[in-house]
Amino acid sequence: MNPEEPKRLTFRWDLDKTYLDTDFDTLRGLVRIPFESAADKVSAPGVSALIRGLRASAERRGVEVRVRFVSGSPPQIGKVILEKLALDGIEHDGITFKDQWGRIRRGKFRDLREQVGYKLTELLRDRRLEPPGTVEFLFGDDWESDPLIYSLYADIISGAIGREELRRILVALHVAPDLAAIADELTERVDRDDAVRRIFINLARRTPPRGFDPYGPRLVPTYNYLQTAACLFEEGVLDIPAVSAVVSALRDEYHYDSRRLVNSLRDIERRGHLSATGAAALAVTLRDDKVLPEFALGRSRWRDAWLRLRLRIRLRRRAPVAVPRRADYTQLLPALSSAPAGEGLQT
Amino acid sequence: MPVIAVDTMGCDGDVRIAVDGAAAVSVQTDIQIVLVGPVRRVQSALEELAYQPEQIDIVDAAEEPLGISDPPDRALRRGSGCSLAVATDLVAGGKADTLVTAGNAPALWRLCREHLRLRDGVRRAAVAAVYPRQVDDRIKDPLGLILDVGATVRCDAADLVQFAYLGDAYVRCVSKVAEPRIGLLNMATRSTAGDEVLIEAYQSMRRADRLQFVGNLEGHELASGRADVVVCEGLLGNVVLKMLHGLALIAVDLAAAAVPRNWRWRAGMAMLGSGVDRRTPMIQYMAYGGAPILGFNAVPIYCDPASPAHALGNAIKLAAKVQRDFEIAPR
Repeated sequence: MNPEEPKRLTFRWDLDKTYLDTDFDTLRGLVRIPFESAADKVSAPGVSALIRGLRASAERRGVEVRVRFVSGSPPQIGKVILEKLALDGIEHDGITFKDQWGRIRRGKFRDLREQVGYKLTELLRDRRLEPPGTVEFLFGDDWESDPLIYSLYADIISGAIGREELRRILVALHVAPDLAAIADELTERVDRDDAVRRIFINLARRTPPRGFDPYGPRLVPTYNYLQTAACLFEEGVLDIPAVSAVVSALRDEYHYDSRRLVNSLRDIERRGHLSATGAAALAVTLRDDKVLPEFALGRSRWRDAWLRLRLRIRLRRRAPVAVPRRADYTQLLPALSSAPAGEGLQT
Repeated sequence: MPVIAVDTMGCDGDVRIAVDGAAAVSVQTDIQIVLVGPVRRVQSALEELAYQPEQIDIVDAAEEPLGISDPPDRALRRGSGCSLAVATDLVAGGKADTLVTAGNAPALWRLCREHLRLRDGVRRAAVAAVYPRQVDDRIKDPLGLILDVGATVRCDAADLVQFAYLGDAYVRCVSKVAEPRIGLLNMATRSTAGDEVLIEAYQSMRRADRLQFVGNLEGHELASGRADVVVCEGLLGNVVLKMLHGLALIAVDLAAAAVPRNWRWRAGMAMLGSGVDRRTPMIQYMAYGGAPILGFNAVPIYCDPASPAHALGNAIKLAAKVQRDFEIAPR
């Protein structure tokens, strides 16, 4: 194991629109959700191959790994979700569901649609169970408020925002006072550690990426899981066989052609989330392995040899690429304070 | 799916217009798009929009735009990096199926002639354009096709006959008219009207196999729908097309001028409003996408430099449709 490797990696996933391609868009889709079987549920292209790859890559390097899901769905559909994960071959370390029925019984109807307070408190609770030195990667989508919740969580545990600032943010977000109080208490008790290395937001809604700039470079909006896999490869978290598995899944199961795959990789590189060296290293390897021969950046044998050498050095060093920095809440707050809690908070 | 190269430096170098149109198309369709322009500017414009990255690639080109009135020589200079030249190179090199531009028309024409191959048996390419016409029970398609509208200023009879075949193939394949009627634009309907070129072209088209030639057309018959394809030389076609645009603008101006004068006219216009809105796209050249250049192995689409984003988007869709459907049957 590389001495720079973290001892433990935790991957936290949202479910709907991140893992599952849930149809929220239509009334028909919404009505169908409770009646769907595990076989009816559709996962986002390449996501199951990515999660399997994350676990396998970590295990190949001797790193302890945890995959956790936090969902805003009620526990009543939990059985179907568990079956779906089993069908997809996903080993996980627990799913947290939102107890909607309990909220109805307590008359907390406002909390039914509330996401920020619920998810933030669940994340902080779970963080307290992690051993020191655990590095986290968070995965959400642009449908609800994942970018904001994950950024708040990352900034709380890193100590970038204090309790007073958090209180003001939660008030601006109209988070229910009882949940805000729990979040405040957990913030007091959680160990400070700059643990969240990257937040990946699946652009299920095709939100323009520029809107995520205030969240800083720690947050990476991606259009598909090949882009996510490429960034994780550069982070040293995903190895080449795992990236190849994502490419193969997209190609074989979802009929992505080479042009679409190559365009995806070039897009994430142009947006600055994948370095030119990382893209080139990936290109050479995917081409050598005949997984994506069309993703050719090197034009000459000398350049190819140079890229292979760089790749070997990269694989040895495995250092994080960008330094995470806190989200710019002053830029985000004016927009957030006028929006109802849990709605349209991605920008 | 066809790959369409889009010159983002048309529209007077404002990359946002072409990028906006292309981004919308990438979300609505499966068309593969290569945006040609300065990478940083194009990427920056793209990131402010909803787009589908799997369908968009960017190829770098020079920062300096080739203005619509600039001499085309700069585009033709080797290594100029001019976006129009880069886009044409992509088509010539097989990396894109065709291109869309709202840039410098003479430069496009010269680049096409130098870098693209003419289809077998075609002597000259022609620029085609659609125009609105009357519809009835027999004529369902509200658009007629006129060519050439500017590529070849003066033509001989053989050129005009070939334009008739090109127009016939285009309307069959793209507009899905089973038996297109071909008319020759002239100053009278009799067979001996016009100069020698027009008389010879008339005789050749009348004798031509598989052309449903309806004879000479006078100017006032353009809108009547007597022909699905109107053939003429470039100078005449260009004048006709621009006059049609001018007439449409005059009609709009007349209506606008009438409104403030009298409350009854105003009320009448208000009542007509939704009907006018519904018919307006018929007289908006932007809704048609652009003018296809017929005769080369690829079919480049030329758009007006004042085109807004949705017109560029329509041009990209038209380019993909033409690329997929247009085929000249062996004759």
